[in-house]
Amino acid sequence: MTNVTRIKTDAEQTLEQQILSPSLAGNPLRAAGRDVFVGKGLPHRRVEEYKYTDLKALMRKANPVAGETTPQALASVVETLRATARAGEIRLVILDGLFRADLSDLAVLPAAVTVTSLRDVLAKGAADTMAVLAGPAIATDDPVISLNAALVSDGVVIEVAAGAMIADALHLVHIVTSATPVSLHTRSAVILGAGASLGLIESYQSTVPGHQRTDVLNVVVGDGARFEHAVAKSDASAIDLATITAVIGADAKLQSFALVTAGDVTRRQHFVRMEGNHSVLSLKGANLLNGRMHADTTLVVEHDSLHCESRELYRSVIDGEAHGVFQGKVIVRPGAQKTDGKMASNALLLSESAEMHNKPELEIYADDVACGHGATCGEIDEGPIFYLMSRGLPRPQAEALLIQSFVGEVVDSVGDVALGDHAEALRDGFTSAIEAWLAQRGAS
Amino acid sequence: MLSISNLHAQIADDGREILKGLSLDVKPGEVHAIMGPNGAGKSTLAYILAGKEDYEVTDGSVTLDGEDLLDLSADQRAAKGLFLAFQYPVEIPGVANMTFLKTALNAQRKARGEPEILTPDFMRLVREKSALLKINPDMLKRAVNVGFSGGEKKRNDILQMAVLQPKICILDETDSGLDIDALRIVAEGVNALRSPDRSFVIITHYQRLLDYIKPDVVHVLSDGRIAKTGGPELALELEAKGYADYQTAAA
Repeated sequence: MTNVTRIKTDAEQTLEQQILSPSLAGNPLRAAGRDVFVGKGLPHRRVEEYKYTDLKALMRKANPVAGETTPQALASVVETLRATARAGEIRLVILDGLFRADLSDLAVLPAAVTVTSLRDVLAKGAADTMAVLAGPAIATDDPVISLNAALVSDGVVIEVAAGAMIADALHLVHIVTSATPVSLHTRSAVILGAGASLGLIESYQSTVPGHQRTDVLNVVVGDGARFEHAVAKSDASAIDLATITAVIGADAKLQSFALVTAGDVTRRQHFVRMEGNHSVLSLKGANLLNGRMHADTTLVVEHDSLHCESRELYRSVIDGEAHGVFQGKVIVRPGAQKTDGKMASNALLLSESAEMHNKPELEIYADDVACGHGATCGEIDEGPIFYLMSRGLPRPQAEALLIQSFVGEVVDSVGDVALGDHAEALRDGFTSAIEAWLAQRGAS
Repeated sequence: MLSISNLHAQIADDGREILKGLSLDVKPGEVHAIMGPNGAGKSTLAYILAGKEDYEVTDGSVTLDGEDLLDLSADQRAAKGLFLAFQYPVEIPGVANMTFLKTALNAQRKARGEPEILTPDFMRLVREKSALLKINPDMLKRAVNVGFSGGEKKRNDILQMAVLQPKICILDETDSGLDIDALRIVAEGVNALRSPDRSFVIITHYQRLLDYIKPDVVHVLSDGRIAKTGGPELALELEAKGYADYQTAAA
């Protein structure tokens, strides 16, 4: 090994300055993250997990960290929140990187749910909560999680008491009011007691494009608990690096769905550890990409228990010069017998220059398991197109219908686990977002 | 109504000529049967009329009520009143049959400058036509042709025809893969649509379908052109003697 000095990019230098800023001194997550980041910098194509999403190349400059919300911006947010309140959901607001109890619907929060800002949790430093916030071991080496730890400003920790079935979904609303591109680093956690049930929605709002964001959500699903998570990623950010980690107990269920329709560079990564027997995991998503968008879905699922089922299904629709990436790794630890795993990534390429990279991986150390994966890439089938056109649909409409049906399959299961009465409205919202993406495609 | 004159066409990919000067004239209300040996160009004719892009027309013309069809895309031809019932109707996963019917009907109405059909009117239309074709309401809710039996797919195609109410219907080997009961239901559906201003071109290998749908004119298609034209008795003659007289070296 030769000793070489790493050349730091403009973005890396700015990020280091931000990490070393005294304003973050009170953050106990920072030390570990800082050391990893200062040592390794942004991950690049020679780091296996980032081969197709070379952040060193994709992130030329680091934006300044989000500043305080102006009174005018705050007034406008208050107004918007008032106008968009909906029955069946309880909103928790993260505004310009800070959890805002005053803007959140805490008045209607069920007694079994405790919501605390990350800053308060870090200040107390309770060992068990800190362990949750650090995430499972399979995720600790990830450079983006380290960067997030080093720079995290705030977030929210949601705890649901054992046995509590929460009917209304919680809605984590990420709002950025800055009129110029900024960076945001937030981390949240969901801790479900045994037999509890919760649905969590996440959405993003910003007034200008070009923000850079890292966000980590650490989830602990207790024995017999159910957690469902659904995200609509529709704001035009420059860089959006979202991580979800989860540790799942016995007889539990976790389902997560994400729809990505905007953002220059998006990476959504999941690190899930199946720790208890007889649990079910379902990860699904749809990425609709155009222009020069780049979207990466990276999954690491670790089976370390008996009789668990994992299902991963992702659909990508790629137009223009956009790039899609799917990396899915399923690890079956020794003794994790009767594991039933199925993973699939299917991509539809709509243009000559659209690209999709599929990298499914299975690492199996147990001998009595059923695991499989499939990855496909293709153009829209001309057979169905001709059939639809022969019935009177013009080509763009025929294509749109087939694309909708292609992604519709993953949207259909939203609400199957724990989103309650809100699921239908949510599915309708996803469908509208897909229609809007298709309309924009038709117009261009 | 439908007038095909000296039609020459080849496969776009390899330039192989399939139709070699085919002419045909279908008058309003007439039912024409096109029979012929394998490889004569029967299905190619159906696809070319419907506007499939895999073929290239090198000579000749096709008009519907005097309007040139060859310059139109498949959807424009559909809006002008041309309908093709497929030999193998295509499965469209994720699109409900009912949604598809309504989308197709409204797309055609829009192309013709007509207003969208009102939902109650549409429901009534579909209910009436599906009862005629013995289509289970459950089939309307399912994805288009997905998990349908061969007979259900064909009935579903005829249902689309009944709802879209075209001027000229081309049936491409609609009898293939049908048992005798399904054949009768499909034939009844077609017969119910016969009218003085709607014409049919029925492409088939066998005379059997013509027992149920009585043709006015029967053509023998061989080696890319019409080799013989006659009345219904021609179909019986073919059934008895086979296509030996019309067999080409290539087939």
